[in-house]
Amino acid sequence: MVVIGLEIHAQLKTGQKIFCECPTNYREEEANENICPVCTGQPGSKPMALNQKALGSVIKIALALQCELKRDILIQRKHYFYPDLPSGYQRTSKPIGINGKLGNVRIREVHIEEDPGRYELRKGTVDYNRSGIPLIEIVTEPDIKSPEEARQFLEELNAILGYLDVGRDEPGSSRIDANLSIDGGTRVEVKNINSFKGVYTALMYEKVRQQNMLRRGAEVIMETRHFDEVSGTTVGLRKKETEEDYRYFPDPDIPPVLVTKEMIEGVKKEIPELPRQKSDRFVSDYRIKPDDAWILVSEIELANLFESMSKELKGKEQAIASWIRGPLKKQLNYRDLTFKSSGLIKNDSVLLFKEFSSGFITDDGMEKALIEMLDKKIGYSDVRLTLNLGKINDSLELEGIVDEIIAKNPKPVEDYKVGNEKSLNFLVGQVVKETEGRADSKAVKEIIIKKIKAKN
Amino acid sequence: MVWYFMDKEILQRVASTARIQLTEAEIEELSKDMDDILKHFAEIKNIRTEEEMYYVYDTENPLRKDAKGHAENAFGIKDQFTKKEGKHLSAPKSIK
Amino acid sequence: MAANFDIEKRLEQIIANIKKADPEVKAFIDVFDVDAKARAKEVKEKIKEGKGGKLAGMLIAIKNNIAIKGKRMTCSSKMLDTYYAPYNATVIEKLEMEDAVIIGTTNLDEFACGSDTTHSAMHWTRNPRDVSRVPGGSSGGSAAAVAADMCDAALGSDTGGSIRCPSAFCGVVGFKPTYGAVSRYGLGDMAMSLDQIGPIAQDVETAERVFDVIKGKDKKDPVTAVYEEKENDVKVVGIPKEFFEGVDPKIAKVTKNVIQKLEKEYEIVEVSLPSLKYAIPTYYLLMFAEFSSAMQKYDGLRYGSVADRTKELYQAFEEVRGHSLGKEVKRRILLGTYITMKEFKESWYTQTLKARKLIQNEFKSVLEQCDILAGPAMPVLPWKFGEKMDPVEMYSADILTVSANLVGLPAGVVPVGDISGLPASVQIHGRHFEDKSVFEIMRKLEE
Repeated sequence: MVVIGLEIHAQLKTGQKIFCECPTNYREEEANENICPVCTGQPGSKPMALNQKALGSVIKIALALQCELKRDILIQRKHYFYPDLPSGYQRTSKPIGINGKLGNVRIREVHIEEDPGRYELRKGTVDYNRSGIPLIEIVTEPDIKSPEEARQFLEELNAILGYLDVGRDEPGSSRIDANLSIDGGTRVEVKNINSFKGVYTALMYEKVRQQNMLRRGAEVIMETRHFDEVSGTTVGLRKKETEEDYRYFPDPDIPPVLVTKEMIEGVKKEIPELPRQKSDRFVSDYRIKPDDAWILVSEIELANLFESMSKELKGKEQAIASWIRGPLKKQLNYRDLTFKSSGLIKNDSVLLFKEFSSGFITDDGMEKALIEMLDKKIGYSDVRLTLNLGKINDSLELEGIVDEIIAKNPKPVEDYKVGNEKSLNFLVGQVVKETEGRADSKAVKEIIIKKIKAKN
Repeated sequence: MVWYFMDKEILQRVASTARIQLTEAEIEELSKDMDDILKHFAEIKNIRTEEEMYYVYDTENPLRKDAKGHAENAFGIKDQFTKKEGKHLSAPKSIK
Repeated sequence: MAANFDIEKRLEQIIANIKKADPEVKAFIDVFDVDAKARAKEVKEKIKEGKGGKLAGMLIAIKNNIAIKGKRMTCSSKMLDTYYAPYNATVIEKLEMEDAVIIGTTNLDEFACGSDTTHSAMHWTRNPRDVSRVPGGSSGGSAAAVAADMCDAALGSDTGGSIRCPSAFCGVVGFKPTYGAVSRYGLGDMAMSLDQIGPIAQDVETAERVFDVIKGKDKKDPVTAVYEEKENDVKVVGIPKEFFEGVDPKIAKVTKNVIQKLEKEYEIVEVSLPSLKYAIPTYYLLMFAEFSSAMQKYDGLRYGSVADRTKELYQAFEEVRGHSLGKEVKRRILLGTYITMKEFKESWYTQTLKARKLIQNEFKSVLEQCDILAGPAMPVLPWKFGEKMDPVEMYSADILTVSANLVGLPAGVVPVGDISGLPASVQIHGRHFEDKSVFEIMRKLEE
């Protein structure tokens, strides 16, 4: 029995850093440009008051995760030495939200902390542009039962962060530490996972590694392992002599911040309908399949697309849902895009979908159009001008082409005759290719079958 | 019965946590000094109250409104780096 | 400022005094004669045009743990011997805005760790009243500079008495504001919940003028957010009997006589502060803990002493900290680290916080019966160099000054008499944010 717990660190979207007024666009600047005496720990520097937007974001996330809120925000110092830590301690708060839940997974606590700088171990260089960016840390109970469950949990969490518009979307803006143990055995910590996707890979590898050890009768040692993204493996670090004593104590420079009712009410107003609720509503209001609904809500822009399309094209809700979660999502996933980042706009999607569902263009034509739109970043009307997409409705024309293809491909015809379905699909594909996607594959299939039978 | 708060072994651990290298002579002298000081201050352990004082005032710290960011003194700060590597701060390498 | 006051002449005089007296007193670390002359010229013009700021013409020396942009901020340590502050402390910005001229930086105990400035890694400073004796500390350089007329006023910092002790020992006026009255942005941390910057001057009026400029809320130090100057009619002066326990009888006598003079205008009552017996351990243990945290930033990478990049990471840190920090500094860091370590925290650090609460509660309740507390500033006269070598002995000398920091109260010292040529001073405590009341009594005692 696998037991997994997660600690997620996600950067929060703000204009200024958590305890100073430096800019937060650390990826765009050259090293050590977005710095000041505070975030580089200069002698005599002091933290400024806590960034209000950062705190608001943490409270928002805590509420979305159904946490109870604590009354006070208490910032502590966590002491250790490392080149990326300019003051020799990290400012991190005590829990702000506790006892939350996301799906079946209990949330132990969420709190706020400051990001250290970037230290390249192998090069021996440090850049403090990132030092002081606000982070939320979300800690789960060890309620996750498999790498797959972990992946699903993180997908939903990611969707929520997107809905709340509190996070940053860049690579490396979330870091995850995962704990895994098997059958109540020793717990191993895996650090350095830099993406939600990497978590699945890391946990799969670690689960298998531990299972193999147990099978061999070897002992799994309690340790911290490092996830290597390139090889997809976890690697043991050199063991530390003693466990780190961080000597936590309250930061005297930062007296407590009271979480007021006004603050909470203000934040609550900004929380939109969240993925789970939206999905349930889609199922009941639009009568679409729950599986489809769940995929639609994974990204708020996608969910909004579905809703506005459904409002415009009444009666076609399930077809729209299937189209979005099917062909559209397929092309987006292939390009590692979200709907938001794809450049597609609602009106184009509506046009394309209309022509497709009315039968004006075929499946393949629709896919072709999507590809053009995504790769060339043009609208549907432009695609219609440059590509000939209209479905061939003239059966004579179709039959003519089918005859050609059958003539050119005697072997596949013979193979089909003896029962090879794949050959039939091949022939269909050739016709579709010949017509540049304008032939409807279903109709073509029927014609081919008819013709081959007739030949007999 | 010998009762002490600080000895050479404990001091070694403390120095390691505080990342300060000490010579043999320093360990010898400091462990005695520190034990002496702690013994003098040990009367504080007699206090039996419950309330602890973490902050001087009971009022709350204000929050700071977020705005467009601006850096400050970046050039002067970089100038003080004890060793640079281009625009980066140079630090010892850590091979894994 | 009178229109015929010539700041350039005064600066010349000051620099001459420095040249004459400082080779022996050694109050200064760096003297900015070139910059000061240029600035004095500018300010002179402004004064002529009647546009001079509130401190126009005042020549001020700054304790070297306060950041002045482009100048060395050594904190009297090898660790920061080569550190040039890339920014200004808020107090410096405020002084310059009011046309004060900063003439140099003064010596201190290394990282403010000490009560006599002998722990400086730079050099010793001597008491201008008797050069065989210490000037007190940790702001010994600032107090000596004022006492020897090498500046018009100076800034010091006070964590457990570091302004008041040297002011008393050198026979000048020193004031520690209410915690949060003056911004600490730019002050090298010693103990974050105890530190304050304050003025040292020859007379109360000058000290107050400087305080009025440096006080106030600062967004760069959120601890000042609560600052709100409170006016109060002083009616009752309390004399805590514990303030006289263990004090040199000559000092006690002089102090009592002077305080009695206040009877004419104020009601004098005897009060009691039994928790004072915990003041020294509470102060020192708390300060050790906070100091050890404040010192974590010194790893030889971003500023100061150079860490050896060819060494293994932690080795590099351990070496630079071992080599560049002085003995007293190391002792305090190690003690602070010890009492906050997991295994020792409950029995030491937590106890300290309890003791602090006890002391705070007691002072607050006593200050409900009276507006002001009065007593001697220091329990002993300035000692000779080499006399107080034992740490515990030295720590105990702070018994009268640490409470003001533990509770956050404003406290000032004013010289009131002479004991065989050495100054004796009275210390006045007030309630939180009633700094003005303290100044009022100090003025009365000065007369």
